[in-house]
Amino acid sequence: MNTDHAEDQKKLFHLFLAWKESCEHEMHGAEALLAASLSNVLPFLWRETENNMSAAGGYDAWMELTADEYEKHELKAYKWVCITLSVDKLGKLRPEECQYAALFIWGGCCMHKEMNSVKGGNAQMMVFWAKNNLPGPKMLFNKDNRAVARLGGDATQERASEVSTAGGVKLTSLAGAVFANKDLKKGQQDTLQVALQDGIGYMVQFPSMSGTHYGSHAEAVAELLVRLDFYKQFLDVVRDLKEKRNLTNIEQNIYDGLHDIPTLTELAVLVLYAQAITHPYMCAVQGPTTSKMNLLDLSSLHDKVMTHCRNIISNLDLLLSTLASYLKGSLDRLIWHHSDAFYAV
Amino acid sequence: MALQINLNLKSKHGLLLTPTYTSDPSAPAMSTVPSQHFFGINWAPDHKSETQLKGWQELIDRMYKVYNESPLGHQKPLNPLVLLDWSPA
Repeated sequence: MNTDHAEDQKKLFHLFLAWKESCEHEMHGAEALLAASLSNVLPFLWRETENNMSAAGGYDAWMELTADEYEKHELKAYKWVCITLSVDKLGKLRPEECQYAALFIWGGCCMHKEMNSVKGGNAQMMVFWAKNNLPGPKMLFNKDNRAVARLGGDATQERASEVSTAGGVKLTSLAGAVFANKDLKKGQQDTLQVALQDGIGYMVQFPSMSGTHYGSHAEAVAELLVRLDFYKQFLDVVRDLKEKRNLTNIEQNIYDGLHDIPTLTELAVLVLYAQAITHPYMCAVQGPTTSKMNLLDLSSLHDKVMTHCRNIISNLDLLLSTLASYLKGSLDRLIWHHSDAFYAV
Repeated sequence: MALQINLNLKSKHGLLLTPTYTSDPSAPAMSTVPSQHFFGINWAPDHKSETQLKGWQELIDRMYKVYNESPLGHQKPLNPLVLLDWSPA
């Protein structure tokens, strides 16, 4: 069975599993019922009929039931007898037969698997700084918390830091809200397009971060890193264009993030992961050659992804050395999807 | 005041291994090909997992019932309990 990773679908899988088990029991029970001698089955049938009658409220009430209700009770009792009888029969199956009888696989979605690996990796990356006593990415406070952090006492400042976030993914979300806001009247997208035309000669649509778009953070990170100097200067332009010569809080946060080494480090990690794992992996499961691919055959690929991750962890030079190349760094040994971003790192 | 109605629509599809047109129907094992099948869209009262399961069960019951009532079904009846049985037999 194959579903996405939403909780209701995971539950649905367990319901299907239970359904399959009950079907399995019923089937084996029905066989056992047919094979058994009448004297063995009679006590079961007798007991169930009695149960049915007492549940309906005695013999008289039982006789009053409509044909539909009667059939419903009988069917339930029949199923119950089957299930009881099947326990014995299933117990006698050979282990491999048992395994086949119980086999029911949940596949899940490769895109979600990959996304979870990025999300999990990002969560680990966020706690990494504190764990190793390193100065982490600069806090990107919202408007209220920035005021609190500046003016409040120690306790309130701490609280403001706790509820605020920092890091690469936060920065790309903010950048998305300013450089590609879904509301065309907000943000700086028009100014950005004009500045891009003027600065590099053509326009680039900043990846949209407002919708739920798979892989959008990695795209935005690549864009920010490839043209890091441009975006830094662009925020200066935005400030100078304004009457009061100041940046709004969110613009200030992006500005801070782009000038903060730990935040940029997180961006670099996100880009490297996207180039080395995400993109080759998605090509392997959803590329042009995969129309006849079966999810059940992908376990070797998933092993390969994990091995490659471990290789990179044990030998960071695969990606970080000046000689690093896609021949060893990328999962599929093919050229980087976004070479500019890789070399920018 | 506009009346807002939220309707839950459930679309069902499944992947079946079906015999190819070139295979010999009298051969014991026909060559098969994986094919996507659309099983219709219907309304459901909510989006709970239990409702989704019930939708599938009703659909499968109906399909087996129709098949077993058909002339082919009379010749070769099928047991709906076998649907989820994956044993190699």
